[in-house]
Amino acid sequence: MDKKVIAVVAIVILVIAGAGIFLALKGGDSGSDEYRSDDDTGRLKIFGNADNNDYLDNDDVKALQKIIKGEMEKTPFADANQDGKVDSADVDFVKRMVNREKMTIYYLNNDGVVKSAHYPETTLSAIPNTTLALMKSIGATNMIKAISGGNYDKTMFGDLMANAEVISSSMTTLDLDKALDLKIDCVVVDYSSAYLKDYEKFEKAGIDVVRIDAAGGLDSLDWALTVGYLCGIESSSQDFVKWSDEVYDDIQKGISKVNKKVTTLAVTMTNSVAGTEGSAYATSVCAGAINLADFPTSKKAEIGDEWILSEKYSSQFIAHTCNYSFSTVGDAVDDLWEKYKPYFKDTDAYKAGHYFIFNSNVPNIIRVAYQVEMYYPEVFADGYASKLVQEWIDKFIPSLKDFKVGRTVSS
Amino acid sequence: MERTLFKSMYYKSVSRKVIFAVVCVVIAFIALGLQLSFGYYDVGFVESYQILWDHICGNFPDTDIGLKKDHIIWDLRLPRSLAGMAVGAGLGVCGAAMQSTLKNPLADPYTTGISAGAGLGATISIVLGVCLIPGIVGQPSIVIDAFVFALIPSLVIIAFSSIRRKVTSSMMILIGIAVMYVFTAMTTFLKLTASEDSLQDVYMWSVGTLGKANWDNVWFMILATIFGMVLFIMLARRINVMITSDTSAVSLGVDPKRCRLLVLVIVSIVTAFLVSFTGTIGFVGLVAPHMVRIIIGSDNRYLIPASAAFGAMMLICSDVIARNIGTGLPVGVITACIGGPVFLYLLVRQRKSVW
Amino acid sequence: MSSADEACGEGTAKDRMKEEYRKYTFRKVLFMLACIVCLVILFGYSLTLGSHEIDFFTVFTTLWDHITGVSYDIGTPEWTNDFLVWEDRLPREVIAIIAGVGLAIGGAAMQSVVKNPLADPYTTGISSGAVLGVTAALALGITAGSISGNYGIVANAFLFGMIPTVVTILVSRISKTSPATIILAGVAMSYLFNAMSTLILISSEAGKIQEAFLWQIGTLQWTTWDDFPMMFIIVAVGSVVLAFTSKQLNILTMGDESAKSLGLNADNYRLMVLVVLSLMTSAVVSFIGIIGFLGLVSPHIVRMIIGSDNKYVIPAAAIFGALFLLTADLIARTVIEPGELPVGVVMSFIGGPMFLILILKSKKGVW
Repeated sequence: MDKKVIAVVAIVILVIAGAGIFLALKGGDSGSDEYRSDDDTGRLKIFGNADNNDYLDNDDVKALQKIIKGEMEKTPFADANQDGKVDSADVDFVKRMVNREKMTIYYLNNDGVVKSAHYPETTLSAIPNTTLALMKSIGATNMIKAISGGNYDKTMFGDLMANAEVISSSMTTLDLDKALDLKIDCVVVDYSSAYLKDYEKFEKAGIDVVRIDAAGGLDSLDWALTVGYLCGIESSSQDFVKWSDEVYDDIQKGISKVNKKVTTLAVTMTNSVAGTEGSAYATSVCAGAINLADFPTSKKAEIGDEWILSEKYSSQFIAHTCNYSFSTVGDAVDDLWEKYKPYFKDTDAYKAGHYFIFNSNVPNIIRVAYQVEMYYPEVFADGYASKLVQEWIDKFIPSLKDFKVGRTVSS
Repeated sequence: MERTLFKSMYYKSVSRKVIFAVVCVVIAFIALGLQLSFGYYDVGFVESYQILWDHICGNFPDTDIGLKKDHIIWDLRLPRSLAGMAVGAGLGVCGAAMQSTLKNPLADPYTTGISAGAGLGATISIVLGVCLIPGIVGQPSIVIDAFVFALIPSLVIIAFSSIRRKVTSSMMILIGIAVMYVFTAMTTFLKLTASEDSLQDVYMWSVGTLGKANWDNVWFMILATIFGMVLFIMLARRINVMITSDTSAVSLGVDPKRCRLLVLVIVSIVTAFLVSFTGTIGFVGLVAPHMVRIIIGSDNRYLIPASAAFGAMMLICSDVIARNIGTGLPVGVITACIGGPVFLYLLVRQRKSVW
Repeated sequence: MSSADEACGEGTAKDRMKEEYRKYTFRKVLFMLACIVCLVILFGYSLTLGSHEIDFFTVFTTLWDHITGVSYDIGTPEWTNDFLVWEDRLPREVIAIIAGVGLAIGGAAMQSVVKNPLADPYTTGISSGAVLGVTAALALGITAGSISGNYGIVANAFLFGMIPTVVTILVSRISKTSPATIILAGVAMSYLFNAMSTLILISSEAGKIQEAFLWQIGTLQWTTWDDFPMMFIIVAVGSVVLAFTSKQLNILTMGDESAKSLGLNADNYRLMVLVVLSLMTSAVVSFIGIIGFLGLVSPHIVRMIIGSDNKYVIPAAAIFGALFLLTADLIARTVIEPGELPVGVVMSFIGGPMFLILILKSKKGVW
């Protein structure tokens, strides 16, 4: 009898232990040390990332060796030292990278150009404000020592402005003299050629110019990882990416429950209806809607234009992203509403109460969340997106802790 | 015998001018008809007039599609067509008056800096979000700012004229250019600090479009144009006299300085009204008087009304073209595309001097 | 010579004339020398300016060291000084001088060719052409010869900037090359090209308007040594050509008939001058954008001081133009802290009031 009891107890303990281990391995929502992203689309755009995942570690060394032996296809980021071939020199190179040595490494920028960078970057500047917002999210706030002039949202960037010096008079430029004085070694900048036009001078002075796309769609995660690596703050940037991925999965799960997809048009700026090449288009598709735009570049919907009233473009929803500053609450949001509604007030979507403006000053995944909240209220409860914003602030932007998010306004 | 021959010649020349003006008006109305029926949103030719008639009679449709069509014809296309005629006539008239008063074939209503002023006002409203009447935002704020700033250059010219006894037409142009330099500099500076959004908005505003016309604001444009036309027709004789030279004008009883300033004030007010709603639509004020002059000569008594008719026709036809290219373009682009070739043509044809 | 010496009275008259002539030229030469002195001083001073202050002596030693081949390690303060002075400030000043010379001479020549005091180097539509080139390159990706990146845009601006001149030449084959023809052709081309740029910009992706706008603003902020060779060669050659033909420019202002009687084919000469100054202006505009007012006003101010003889006006305008642009650039760099204004904006701000003053002061019919 005792032996049986002991056996049963042992089995129960084993089962419980086994279940516990199983659950622990599966990973809860805390315990980021346990989490490991299995994305292998090459989001980390560092040369040496031979297995194309989000991490630069010994797995990449192993993958390189496989490639050299011919067991594996060559991956885009295999040639770590950029000498044109994949060989043992690359293996040595990557081993040094794994040791996180101070060295020159190579990465791919948003224009698809291979650039060199000193690893790790220590003192940064970033322009414009969308890039700054991304840098804040990945935890690089304290590394930023210089910012450009122009209108900055004091609420969002207040802590940054306390630490960093303003070194130019407009959002698109930086003063080289001051950058050298402050010993900036890296400028993270939007890919548009309007920003930092004298980048060649900066590069000649030994300052790395990293061109990224922070404002775009889910691509911004690529840059979160890449810039995070370059600056040696991988763990905080990976935290951010992990959180984004989790939200994304959550949203996709919700969308899969939906029967019928809604039609929508995505609008940016004042009245630019995003075309198929635009990132706002991709975001709306990500939110599980069918976007009726069939033109490549954005089209303007001026007051009095008729094309947006025609059947072809008559969507159920119109999702208009607006640049709320974090000081935009209350009346200021109404002002924005007054400013933008004349362009769309004749559309079917507006009349059905489905034209809405929402905050674009948040990570892309939250923009998706704002949209799914409007499109599929049956799956995503009211306040889903605002909760996410609060989560984002709590986790990544401590300076906004006591802040109340600007609301979505709809007709 | 001689007298009747002379009389018949005179009547022939007059009737030629009148016929020209009438032809322009007729074409304008045909264009209005086209404007109402064609567009991206397809409403058939007959159907659009049916809807118009129904609306006037008070029968409103009750289907969704019917309401939309009614809205498009009545609320979008009709005021836009009326605005097109009014703005075209206004700009044509102002252009004719400016060219005659300043004795310069390259003058247009914007020569004395009005476009730079309006541009600065619009930029201030769009980029800084500031309206001169506090609390107003959006489109009305742009209109108000543009209007007020458009008047400033003329005020500068008037101020100058009170200091100096003699204000020649070239001086007016030069002061206009000077003010334009300063205003353009300020506008450029504001645009430098603007975000991408605001910069794009400013640019689109400056191209010039009739799309913003609706039943609230089209009355302003119509009234401003009528005001300008009436006053200029009354002043036509005096302007004729001023074309000769200042000294002859004085000997014929016309005070050139006062007349010039009066013309300037009227042009400023009318143009400011029109520009603040539509943005700076170019070429109508420049080209309309030229084309009219080729056909009916430089007598301002006929030139001014005919420029109004031609300008109206030109703008509404341009708008028909503009609305039907692809998904629609601002009319300013079409008038700009017309202006260049017309000038080249005038250039090549430069045989007789119409001055 | 000997027969003139015979009569005593004639001898002294001749001496008096020589004396007057010497005084006449003396004033002009004095003006030019004064401008040159100011230029040199400002040049040196502006090399010391910047958020990173470098005093005059250090600038001097840095330049000397660089020329004698001393180099420093990256990161040391000497290296920073050397880099800033040599790669950032020196090219900027040198290009400012070249641009000032190019635009001022262009303005003086244009005013003589077109016989219109309001003419400037952009009268033939070069600025609109350059803008169209930039827009086409940025928004449509069309570049002449498919050169990519910055060089493509510059090349485009240059080539498109020359198109209006080509059209003017073609038109002048049909009707005569009178000043009015040139102005009208220029106006027509401006309108046409502006219309095309507008058309491209409003149909392209959202950010392009900002990019095109920034490219066309006249600014010396982004100049590097790469910009120097082309600009220098074209402006130098152009200035020399125009300076040597200044006598013919004088003749042009007297009218076509008088010109013919003096053996000058006015039409052909006008076209030649037009081509030369278009090349100069186009070169300047493609690298540093559109700076207005300089080409218009420098010749006027110079004429006010030393009269209208092109033999002196052309070189004097060149020096004065360089001085003017350098001064404006200095103001542009120091008026806002931190950062700077584009020099084109500063020029226009100075330009407006200066224009007004010139108008008020105009007693003789310079206009």
